[in-house]
Amino acid sequence: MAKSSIKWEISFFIVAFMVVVIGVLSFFILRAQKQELTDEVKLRGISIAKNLANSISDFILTEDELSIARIISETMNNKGVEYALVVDERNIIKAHNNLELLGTNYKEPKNTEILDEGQYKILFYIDDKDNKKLDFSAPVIAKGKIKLGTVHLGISYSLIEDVIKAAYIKVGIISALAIIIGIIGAFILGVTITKPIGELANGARVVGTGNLDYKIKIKSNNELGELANIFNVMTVNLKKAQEIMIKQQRLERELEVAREIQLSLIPKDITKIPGYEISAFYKSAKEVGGDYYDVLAINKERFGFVMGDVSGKGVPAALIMTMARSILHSEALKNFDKPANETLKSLNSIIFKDIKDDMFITIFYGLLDITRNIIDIASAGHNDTLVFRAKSENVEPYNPKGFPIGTDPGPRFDKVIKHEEILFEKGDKLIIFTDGITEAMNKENKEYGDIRLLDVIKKSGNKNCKELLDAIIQDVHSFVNGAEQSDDIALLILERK
Amino acid sequence: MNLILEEKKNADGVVIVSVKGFIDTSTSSAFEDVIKKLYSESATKIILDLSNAEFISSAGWGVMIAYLKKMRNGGGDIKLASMNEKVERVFKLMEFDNLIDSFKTLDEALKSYKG
Repeated sequence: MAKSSIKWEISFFIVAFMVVVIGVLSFFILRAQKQELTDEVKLRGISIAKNLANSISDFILTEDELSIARIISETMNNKGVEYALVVDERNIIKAHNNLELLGTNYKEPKNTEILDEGQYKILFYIDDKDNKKLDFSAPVIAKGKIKLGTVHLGISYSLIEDVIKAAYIKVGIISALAIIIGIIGAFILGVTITKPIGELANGARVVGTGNLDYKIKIKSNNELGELANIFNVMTVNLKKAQEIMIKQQRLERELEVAREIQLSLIPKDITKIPGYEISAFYKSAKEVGGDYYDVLAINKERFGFVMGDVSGKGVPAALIMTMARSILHSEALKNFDKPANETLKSLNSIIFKDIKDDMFITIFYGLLDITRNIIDIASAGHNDTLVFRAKSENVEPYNPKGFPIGTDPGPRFDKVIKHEEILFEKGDKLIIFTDGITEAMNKENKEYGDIRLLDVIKKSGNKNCKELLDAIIQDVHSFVNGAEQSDDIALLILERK
Repeated sequence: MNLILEEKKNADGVVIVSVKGFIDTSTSSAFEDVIKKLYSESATKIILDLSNAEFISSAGWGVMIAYLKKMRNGGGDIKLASMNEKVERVFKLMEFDNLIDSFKTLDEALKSYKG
C-alpha cells in the first residue's frame, strides 16, 4: 500500500500555495487601505481644523463668547471629533468644548509623535486613558495677518482603527472562505487524479500476483487513460508470451520423456552367443533419441538382431517404438523357424492400426542360426547392411527389398518384403548401422557417406570386432570434428570367431 | 523455401496436383492443407506432378504417407510423376519405390489410372 497519497500532497500544496498568495495579497491590500484611510482622516482633520480656525477668528477678536461656543459646538458635531479648542499666544484657552477649561493654561499632550509639520501640524499621541488620538493644529488669523492663536482639533484614531479592523475582518472572512473552497477544490482535484492512479497501482498489483486477465478500466481521455491502455496491452502481450513459453516448456518436457522412454529400450548388456562376438555402440542426438537396437536370445541356437528407427518425434513416437519392440519380441519367438521377413510381416499387420497416420518405422531384422552359421536378414525400409569377408577382405552390401512398417496394412507389404541368407565364415563380420553414421555431418555440412565407411571397414575389418567398432567410431568422430550431432548413431558388429 | 501448389481436375476425375518448390518443415502444412481438402472432397485419384519439385523432406513424406494410407483405406490412391534425381534418391532410400507407384511422365501416371 502507498505510504502517503498523492491527493494529500496535491491538496496540501494547493492550500499552502493559496494561503501564501492570499496572505501576501491581503497584506498589501490592507496596508494600502490603512494608508488611504489614514490620509483621508488626516485630510479631514485638517479641513475641519482649518474651517474652525477661519470661522472662529473674528469672534476671538471680538470675544463673542456665544458665537465662539456655537462654532465649537458645530465643530464637535463632526464625527470622531473629541475636542476643539483655541489657544491664544499666551497659551490661554480662549475656546473649548469643555467650558470649564476656558481661561486655563493649555497643557500640551505628552509623548506626541509628529505626523506632519507645516502650516498645519498633525500630532499622534495616546492619552492617559490609553485612547489613540490625532491632534490637528491650525493658526487662527484675523484680518489676514494678525495671528490670534492656534486651533487644536482632536480626532479619535479609533475611527481609523475600527475601519481597518472591519477591513481586516472582511479580508479575513474572504480569505478563509477562499481557503475552504480551495481545500475542497484541491481535495476534489486530488481525488480525481488519485483515483485513476490508484486504479493503475491496484491493477499493477493484481497483475503482479499473476492474474494476467485483469483489465484496468480508466475512462479518462488524458495521459492516465493512455497509461491504462498501454498497461492493458502489455498484460495481453505478457499473457501471450507466457502461453508460448508454457507450450514450449511442455514440448521440451515431452521430448525429454520420449527420449527417456526410448533410451530405456536399448539393451544394457548384450546377450552372449557361443562362437560369436558382438560389439555395439549407441549415441543419441541431443533432441532426438529414436533409434533402437536389440539382440534377442530366441532359443539355444537362434538369435535375433534388431535395429530400427521411428519417423516421428516425442512421446507418441516413443510409445510406438516400445510397442514395436514388444510385438517384435513375441513374433520373433513365434517365427523362430521361419525366414526373417515373416516376423516383420507379423509385426506390420499387428502394429499397423495403432500407428499414427504420418508415422512409420524402418527396421532391420536378422535371424542367426549358429548351427548353420547363417543369418537370415530382412529390411523394412532400413539402410544397407554390410558384411566384411575375412578371406577376400571385401565388403559386401545387403539390402533385401521392403518398405517401412506402418505404411501399408498388409497385402502390398507382404508381397514386397523379401529376405536373404548370409553365410558366416570364420572372421566374417556383419555390420548393422543406422543412417546417423553415413549422414553424420561436419562443420562444412558435408556427409560422412558410404564410401568413407567402406574404406574404414576394409582397412580395419581384420581386427576383432571391438577394434573394428572403435575404428569406425573414431573415423566418424574425426570427420565430424566437433560439429553438433544431428541424428542418432547406432552401430552393431557381429563376428564369427 | 517456397512452395506453390496447383490443382487441376481432368475429365476422368483424376486430380493432378503440380508441386513447385520445396516441401519441408516450413511448407509441409501448406501441402497438407491441399491434400486434406482433396481427401475431404472424396477425391480418389490423385497424381502429384513433381516435375518442378526441388526437394521433399521427411516431413513432406510423412504427410504423403499419412494421406496415402487414408486414401487407400477408402479405395483411392496417390501416384507420383516426374521426380527429379534428388527427390528420387530419397524416395528409393526410404524404399518407398515399392510402396507408392511412381512414373517418369505425367501421361504414364494418368494412363495407370485408366483400366
